Order: sequence, then structure tokens, then C-alpha cells
Amino acid sequence: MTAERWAELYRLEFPRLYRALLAVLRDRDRALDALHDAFVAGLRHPPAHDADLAGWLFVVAIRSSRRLRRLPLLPLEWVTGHSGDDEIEATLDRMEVGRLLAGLTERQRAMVVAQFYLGLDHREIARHFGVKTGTVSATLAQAKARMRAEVRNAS
Amino acid sequence: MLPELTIDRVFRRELDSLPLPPEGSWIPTRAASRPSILLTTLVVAATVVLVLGAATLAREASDAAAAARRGVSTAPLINLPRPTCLRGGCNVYRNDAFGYGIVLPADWRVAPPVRGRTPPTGELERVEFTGQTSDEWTHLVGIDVVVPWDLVVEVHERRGVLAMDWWRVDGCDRNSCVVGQTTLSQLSGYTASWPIEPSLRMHAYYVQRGDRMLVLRYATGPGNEGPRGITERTLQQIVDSLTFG
Repeated sequence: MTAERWAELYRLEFPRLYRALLAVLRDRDRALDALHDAFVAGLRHPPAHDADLAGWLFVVAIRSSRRLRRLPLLPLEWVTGHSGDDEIEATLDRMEVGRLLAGLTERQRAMVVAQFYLGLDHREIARHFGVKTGTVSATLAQAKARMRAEVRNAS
Repeated sequence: MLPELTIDRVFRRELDSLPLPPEGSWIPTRAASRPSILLTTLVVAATVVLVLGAATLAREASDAAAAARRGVSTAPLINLPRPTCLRGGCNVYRNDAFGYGIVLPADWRVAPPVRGRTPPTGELERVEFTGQTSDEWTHLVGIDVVVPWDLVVEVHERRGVLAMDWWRVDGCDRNSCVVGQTTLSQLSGYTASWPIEPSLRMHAYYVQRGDRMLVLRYATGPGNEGPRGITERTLQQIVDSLTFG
């Protein structure tokens, strides 16, 4: 795959991947940095097939974001006087989906978003995350149980 | 049971309303990258250290040049600005295919290619220089095994990635990556170092040349000295001797 082709495919997938990462990470900088890392990783070691590119980019970005999270970065508000991520948090909290996802672990959120927003099936999620299909099913079942409980509590 | 078709629709409707960043920032570029304050501080600190180190090495290079006059074993490089000879002799490796040269200590040599190694996509060439004996090296090496105290020089297709971003895909974990700037043969480049094992630390240099990236990499440890008295300073001197012809 040429660099131009890779950039073209990445641009096509960027909007929904960025939003998926926002839903999981709830942080604009982490989402953008993670996607940048996934783009660069794909330039060096592109996925074997164009198909299911979104799933590949999503999981590479999620893994990258976990490394980023451990870095003791200075909070953005120290520089700007406000945090743009307060706004994202507030937006997500106003959304039904945001509230449902907020009660999940980050791993559960990643799999739920992969299934319901990116449209990956259990087998694809398992392949990208490097786990067994049974693990995906169990994680999603737990996540759905929590979301159902959240819906019941809200009503 | 949650109706999953409805969930799909709700996810798409709600998440599709989240705002996107400006399109210019989608693909990482020099202009769009947003180094953290911490990273900027590290870069500045590393630059100061490297400038001080370069001043020291320049003084030593002058001494070494005097030693060179005692015995030059190979032809010098074209445009070699500082004909540095290390550890009592000159041993110049010149790569005409990719237009670079490097000065090695007299007892160093090019290691044989690692059998069974599959080059990653975009790698055009990889040369490993070692100061270890053939037996020692054969005992240490393996596929994807880093031989401490060896220097590896790689040429890669750059594929639009800048030197300042290359550390991201070179195994330099953000958690412990120290990134800096440097100058090699009058070209500005970037450095990165990170622990690869509790007792080993990787050091890398990235220099852009057109559509290619030159990567120099070595691992130090355990301890401060490798076989036959090789130290990090030896390796830094070799890196510093890099010349583009």
C-alpha cells in the first residue's frame, strides 16, 4: 500500500474513528494523539488488507492511548486556563450513549463502541484485540448488563 | 434485553454529532503536531546536553585526528568534514548506495546479516556494526534480538513520516521515552532513548534525507561498559562521525 493510498483511507475513516475514540477515552487530545500514532504505525507496517481498516486503526489507537495515559502530561488547563475536555465530558454526559458508556470500564467501552458504532462482529473484535471470541462475548455481556442496569436506574 | 438494532442507531445518531477537530490536524505533520510541555522541556534539556556533549566530542575529535596520521587503513570519505579515527586507527565504512559513511574503531567490523530476519515494510537496508568477535557475536545474535553495544544503521522509506515522529513507531514507549534534537553531519535530527529491559537502554538517532530516513540505533547495558572496553561514549563518537557524501 502506498503512503498516498494509506493517507486517503485514513482520511475516509478519520471522522468515525475519532468519534469512537472520544466515546471511549473522553479526551480530545488522547483521541487525536492515539489516531496519529495509529496512522504512523500503519505507514510503517500497514495492515494486510484494506477491508476492516477501521477496526485495525481503532485497536492500534486504543493500545497507543493506554501508553499515553501513563505519561504524566501537564494538564491542558495549566496552559490555556480551561480544559476543552470538560466540554467533551459534558457533551457525552448529555447523551444517552455517553451516560451508558460512562459506567463501563475502558476495555468494555472499546468493545461496545467497536460493536455498536463501528459495526464489528465478535470475531472481528476478537481478532483485532488479540483475544478469544469467548472473551469478547463475556466482556460485551457484562457491559450490556451494566448498561441495562443504568437504563433501569434512569427510568 | 436491549434491542440491539436500536442501540446501533442510537450510537450512530449520538456519536456522529460529536465535533471533529480541524481537518488540517487529522494527519500528523510538523505543523499540526502538538508536543506536550513535558516533551518540549525534554527536547530543550536534551538539546543543551547534546550541545555540551558535541563541544566535548569536537575537542576529542581533534586529538583523534592526530592519531589518524599514525595509520590510516582505508580510503577517506568524500566530503568527510572531520576525519575522526577512533581508538588508535581508522576504519571507515562507506555506503555508496545510500550515500553515507561512518568511522569505526579499528577493531570493529560489519556483522553478517541475521539469518531468517524479515525486514519490516519500508526498510531498504540494515547494517550492523560490532566490536565483538565473530564467536561472541554469533552466540548473542538471533531474530529480533538486540545485541548490546553494537551499532545498527538502517535506511527506511520515509513515507511522509518526519524524523521528529519516527520514535513513535520505533518501540520508544511514551511512558519512558526521552526525545531530543541533535545535529549529525550538519543535518538536524532527532534522538530518542528508552529502556528495553531493566538492564538495557536503547538509543536512537533519526535523520531525514529526502524521502528516506536514516536510523542509527544502539543498546547499552548491562553496566556502563561492554566487551573490549566499549562504552556509550565510543558509540556516540561513532554516531558523531556520520557523514553524508
